Amino acid sequence: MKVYPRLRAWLAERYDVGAVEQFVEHQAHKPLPPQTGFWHTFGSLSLYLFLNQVVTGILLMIYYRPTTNTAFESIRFIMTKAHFGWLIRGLHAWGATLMVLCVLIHMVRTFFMGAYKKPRELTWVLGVLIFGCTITFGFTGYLLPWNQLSYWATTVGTEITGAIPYVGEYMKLLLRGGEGVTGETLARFYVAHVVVLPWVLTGIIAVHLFLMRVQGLSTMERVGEEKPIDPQKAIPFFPHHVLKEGVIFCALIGVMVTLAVVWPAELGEKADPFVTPEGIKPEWYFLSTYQLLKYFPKLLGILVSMVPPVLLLIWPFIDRSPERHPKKRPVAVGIGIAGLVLAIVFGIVGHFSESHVTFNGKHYFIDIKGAPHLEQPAASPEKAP
Amino acid sequence: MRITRFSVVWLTAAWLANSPAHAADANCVNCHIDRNAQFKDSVHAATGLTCIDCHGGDPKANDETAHATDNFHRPDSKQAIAQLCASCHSDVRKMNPFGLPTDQLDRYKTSKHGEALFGKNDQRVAGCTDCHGAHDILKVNSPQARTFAANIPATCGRCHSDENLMSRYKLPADVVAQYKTSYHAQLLFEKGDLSAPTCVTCHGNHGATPPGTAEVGQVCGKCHGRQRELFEKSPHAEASAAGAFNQCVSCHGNHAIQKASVDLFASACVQCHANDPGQLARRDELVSVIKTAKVAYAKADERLHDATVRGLATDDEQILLQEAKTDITQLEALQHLLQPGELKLPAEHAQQTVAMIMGDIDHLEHIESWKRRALWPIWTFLGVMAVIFWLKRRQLE
Repeated sequence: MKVYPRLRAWLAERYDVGAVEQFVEHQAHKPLPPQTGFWHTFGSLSLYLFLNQVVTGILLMIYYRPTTNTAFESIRFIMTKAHFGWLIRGLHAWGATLMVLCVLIHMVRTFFMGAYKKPRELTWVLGVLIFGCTITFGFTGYLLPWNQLSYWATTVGTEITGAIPYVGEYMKLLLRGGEGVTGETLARFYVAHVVVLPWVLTGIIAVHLFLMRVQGLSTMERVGEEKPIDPQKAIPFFPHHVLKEGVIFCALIGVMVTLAVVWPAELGEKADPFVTPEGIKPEWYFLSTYQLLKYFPKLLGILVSMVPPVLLLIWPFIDRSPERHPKKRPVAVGIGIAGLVLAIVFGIVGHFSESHVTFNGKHYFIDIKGAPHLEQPAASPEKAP
Repeated sequence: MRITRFSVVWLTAAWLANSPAHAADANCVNCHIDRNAQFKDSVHAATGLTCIDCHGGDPKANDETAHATDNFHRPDSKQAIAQLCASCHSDVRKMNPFGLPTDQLDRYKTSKHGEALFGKNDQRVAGCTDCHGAHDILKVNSPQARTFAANIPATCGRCHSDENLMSRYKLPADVVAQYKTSYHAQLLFEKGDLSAPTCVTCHGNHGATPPGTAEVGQVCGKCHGRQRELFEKSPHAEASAAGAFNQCVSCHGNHAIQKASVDLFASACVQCHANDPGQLARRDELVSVIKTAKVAYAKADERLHDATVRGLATDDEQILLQEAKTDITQLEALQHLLQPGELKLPAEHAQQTVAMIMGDIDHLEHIESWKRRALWPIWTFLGVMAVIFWLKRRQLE
């Protein structure tokens, strides 16, 4: 006798297995709207990448030691001695970047297809919170290798919170656990990164997925005029959509492994609070905010940088027109495109600011605000007698 | 108000705290407010000394009659000050608890300062209080002390940068300015290395005297012992003994001494050997051996650093690099022998070690290249899987 029927029979004597099977069957073959395409796979990819972060994160935790004396050394051990440690760390580091990218693309798709509109406003809000959690994961995880870049980027990052009126100093103290970035900060970031945030994000994702499955995928029809999905044209979730996700999934695995091999996560130099390296930059997803802050006085800069996330969070309650098609929502789409372009431009300027670049054979110094200054070639030193 | 037993004890303790010695100070302070302001934070106040310990007088008097005692004295010359300080600082019993030497006055008398003061009654030369202060004397390891390592150049410079004063003794007034340009000063002021040489390290403190030609090597050798030892075996030692060569100073200079590099050979040797092709050829050979080893070491250091930052396993190579560094350090000392043959062994060992490091890094990078090659089968597998998924989907549609 085969194992599964025996197991099922054993369970059926005790539980309502039929109901569970019916639920799974219904969810697996749930019909999706006919226009469900490759752009719809980025949500699943984000979920996969989250699982990748959990698995590789657990493996890294086996050897990682979160103290100022051991953090850097344990990462070096992982990179150089632990079997495939370099690959696991690479998959974790690049997985973080790709997860931010996938969540962003998923949000952009949702925004331009008007999928955040009634009745899916809360799903959107939860999605924004997922994005917030994802980049907070990035911020807290960045410090953990305890190298020069991570130490000083965290110093700058936490310093910014100090400028928030009334509560800034307390927030900074809460984040750092003292005046400077020390072992206390490392412990706090570690706990946030491996205990608090994973559970918070798991909870939000669960509700996000539940709402998505209950309400189904959005179509391009006007709010209140949605028609039931035509069973003839519907795409079954399994196997049709899952096979489509499989194709993208293979590409994602390939890209992630390639990145981990060709551009492995660097070990860097151990954090030294007495030596400030040049060109401290945050991770790419903070670059636009980092650059934006430079154009305003500290307090005003923080207020201005708070506008995009707040706007994202409450957007479904601002844009309440029934139209979903981008061509029929010129203002919302225009704001969305402008926001994207600004984020990309500020990000690029932030990347090149405070650095020397060569363009068209000429050397330029890009100042803190992104303005290029032509550099004169240095005079050749006189020959020593 | 009820007087409790506790308040009686408290009042008694407060009265006892206001002991006779402190009362005497309090009386001095009535008139000498400014002196007390200087004295209260001094090392002498911290050890419990009071005004009368140095100046005598009547501790009970509350006016000028305090000065009208036989034991009252106000030192009126630098000799008297020195004797007053020595009354404690030459007393072994008094200094033992603090671990301080008791030969400062004896040493001072051997110094140029002491000779001028006690021999010629020259009151312009530095006495105890000129360097240590009078009422505000602090411990040597206190950063505010005039005698703190980082403050020594400024303390000496108060006199030795004074052109008028120095011209009386036909001494240059730019020595401190020169020192501030030196590598020693860079270590002291920029790197905060308090063990870096200051004026007193070479000239002495209480027994301050300029080292003569014969002693320069001994003075530098206090820190650069190995270099001195090798110099003694070099051809220059003979020239020094004959008075034709000022030991270390001839090549390295003195107050404005810079960090020595192999480039020093280019400017130093020609001072004496400009017309001696044989010696210049020997110089070039020395320079070539040292430079070759140093360039190889620098390349290995840079490449190893790059590999380490990238996260490659370089622990063993770091140890090898330290070995090579030891050879380079040996070369830097051995060059004082001025014998190119003596340099060959460490130079060759450094080159061999560097070659091993480079070989190991090549091996590590070879492994890295294999990781990249492994991407081909991975991509092939993933590509096949993607095509299967795609075709299956097409079939279903």
